[in-house]
Amino acid sequence: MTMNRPIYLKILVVVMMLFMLSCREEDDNLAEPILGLGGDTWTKGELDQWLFNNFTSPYNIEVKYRWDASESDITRNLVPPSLDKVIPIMEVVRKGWIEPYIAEAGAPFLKKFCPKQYVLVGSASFNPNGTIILGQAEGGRKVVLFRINDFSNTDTNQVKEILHTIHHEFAHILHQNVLYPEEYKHITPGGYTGTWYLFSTEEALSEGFITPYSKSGFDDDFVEMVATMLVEGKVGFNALINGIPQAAARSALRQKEQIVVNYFTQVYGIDIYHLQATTEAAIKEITK
Amino acid sequence: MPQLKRFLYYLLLIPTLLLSSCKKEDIRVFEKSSDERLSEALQRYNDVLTSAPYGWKTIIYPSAGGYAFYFEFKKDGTVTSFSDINLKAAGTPLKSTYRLKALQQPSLLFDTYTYLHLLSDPDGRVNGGNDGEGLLSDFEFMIDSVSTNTIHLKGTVHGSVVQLVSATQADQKSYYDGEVANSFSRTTAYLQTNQNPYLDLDRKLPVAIDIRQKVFTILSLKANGLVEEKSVLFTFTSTGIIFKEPITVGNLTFQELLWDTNEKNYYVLVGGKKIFLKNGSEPVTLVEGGIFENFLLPEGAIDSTNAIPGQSDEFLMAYKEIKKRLLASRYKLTLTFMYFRFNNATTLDLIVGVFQINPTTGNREDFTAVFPYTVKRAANGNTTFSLRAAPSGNAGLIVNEMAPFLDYLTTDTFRFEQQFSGAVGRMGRMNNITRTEFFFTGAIYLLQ
Repeated sequence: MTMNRPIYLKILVVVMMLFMLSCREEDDNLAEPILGLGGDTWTKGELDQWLFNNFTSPYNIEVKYRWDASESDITRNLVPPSLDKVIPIMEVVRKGWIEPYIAEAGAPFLKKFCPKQYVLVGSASFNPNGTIILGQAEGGRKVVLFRINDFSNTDTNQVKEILHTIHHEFAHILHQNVLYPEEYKHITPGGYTGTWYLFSTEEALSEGFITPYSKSGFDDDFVEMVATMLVEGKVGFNALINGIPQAAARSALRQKEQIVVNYFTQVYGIDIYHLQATTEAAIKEITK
Repeated sequence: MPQLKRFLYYLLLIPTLLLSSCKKEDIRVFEKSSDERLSEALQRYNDVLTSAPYGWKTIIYPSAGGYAFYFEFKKDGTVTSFSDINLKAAGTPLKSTYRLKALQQPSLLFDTYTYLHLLSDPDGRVNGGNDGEGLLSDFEFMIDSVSTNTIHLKGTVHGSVVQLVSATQADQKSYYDGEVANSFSRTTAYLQTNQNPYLDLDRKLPVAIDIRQKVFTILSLKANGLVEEKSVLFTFTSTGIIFKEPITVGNLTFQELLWDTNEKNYYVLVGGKKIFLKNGSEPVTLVEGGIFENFLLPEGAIDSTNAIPGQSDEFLMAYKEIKKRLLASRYKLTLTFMYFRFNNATTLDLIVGVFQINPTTGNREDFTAVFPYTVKRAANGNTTFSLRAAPSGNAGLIVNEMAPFLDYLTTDTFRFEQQFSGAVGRMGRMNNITRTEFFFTGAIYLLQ
């Protein structure tokens, strides 16, 4: 009797196989479009065309101005931008950041490193500690610009503030690709703090930091230096540093400046002083 | 026979295999896929939104106030808005964009800035809300239900409930022809010239119109002689202002203030009869000789541009004298406020606020001094005050400087008058009946 057992098993296996064959699967209709796949669509207007012609087509940058809650912090109360502020803001981006860099390093450089998406938000983003966020970058891919509804191109401070944000975020991308020298972190090692917002600009300067925000960490210190150098222009930047009473702070900032200069020359072959001059001229042009 | 038994067990397994053998056939409860139905629904909603001949109107009630909105949705994805939130919004059409999008539910997004976003703006300077919050109002809505003349929306973040109602030609005209804006500006002008408006019924019932938060307030007296304050939210119309719900004072119920262009005045229409608002040259008296209520002469109540009216010259002289003495005193104090706190019918704490500039830091340091009194009020309302205990602490240090004012309080007899002014609000006035040239007025706050 024991000899028979394999036969039962064989029968069973055959039966199972038959059942499997009986499984009839109907092909889903894969041609059916999924709703919303490929992003939002809307009737494109003149503004959309302008953005396409000036950003998407030449530099592969998407400019998102229509509200999409998932593009920014959903826990914050924010509002979308006003239609009439989109072009003025993006003109600042183009003239004060894209064009100077292209003039200095060429279009391929910019196309390679530029963030691929700009998201515009009408209001500032308010932090619980009372400070506000004016710009944010995510992994070198996306830059969010806040508070654009208050924008006026004749307000030099405001234009500088926006360009400061943009140059700040772009410098992050640059150092994320090739890190600045380690010695930068050892110039003012004791001054970095999470409560940077409790310091005034004067206090930050007196400790050898170009802005209070530079105190928040090494990377932000580095990019704040780059942004301040570019946006304030050579004269403005020198005046800022020479106005500091503490000699130690002045020398620390000059060391940082030197590292920035060398970094741009050695890594990207950019003369930052020349870039500084073109950016300064661009700001004059924008605020004219 | 164990083998046979085992075989039978295996046989039992076969039915379970039957279960696993599937026959895949789509059983669709609906004729079309969910995606198809969703995109059809969005298309249908868009058709309803864009096909209303005169646009849509609604009133939105955020965390404070209530505001009227008017929207015209166009097929090209733009929406033209008006609102009575401010004068500009009431008279200037603003074009922005909207789109319908499948979020958790089919949703309507006002996706670029328009008047609606004034409520949501997290910048407190825009709408008077807290920074980072605004008025906690939505601009992204789930579509709950749609019919040809009503659309129910629910905000995705703050849960704002919005009911869009198809507007009439008259509604459309009231915005495009500037009628709502006119209503807004003439009300502003009316309130500037009419500081103490009231309705003259069996007695004077003072009213206040708060244009910013859109609140109408009317004060009356209850049967027990206490003041009753009723407030209701309103919105501007081409003819005046309309309340969120009817308001009743005495046996008068009304829901609208209408504007009479000839009289240049507001009236309430009751049974076909116009009852016009009147304006007092002085704040309207609500109760005279009644029970004292807590009242405050805040910092700047006497000598700033926002001064509270109703201070007699004799009081001002005493006030200036104590102010001068405090500043000349050893502590160099600046008088800030005087708060009359009636703990109960028989005791009063007069709390005096002063500050001193710290000579080393240069910072302002605030102090309070408390003067305790016993209150004796006769049945006719005449009231006298006497010190309950000798002033001590801070009060002890400034009692001599305060004397020019405090002497009136302890030697004379007073009566209390409750007043209301549309421009200032509720006020309490102390009338000296011994020396009638001495009286002063402070603000009454309901919550103390």
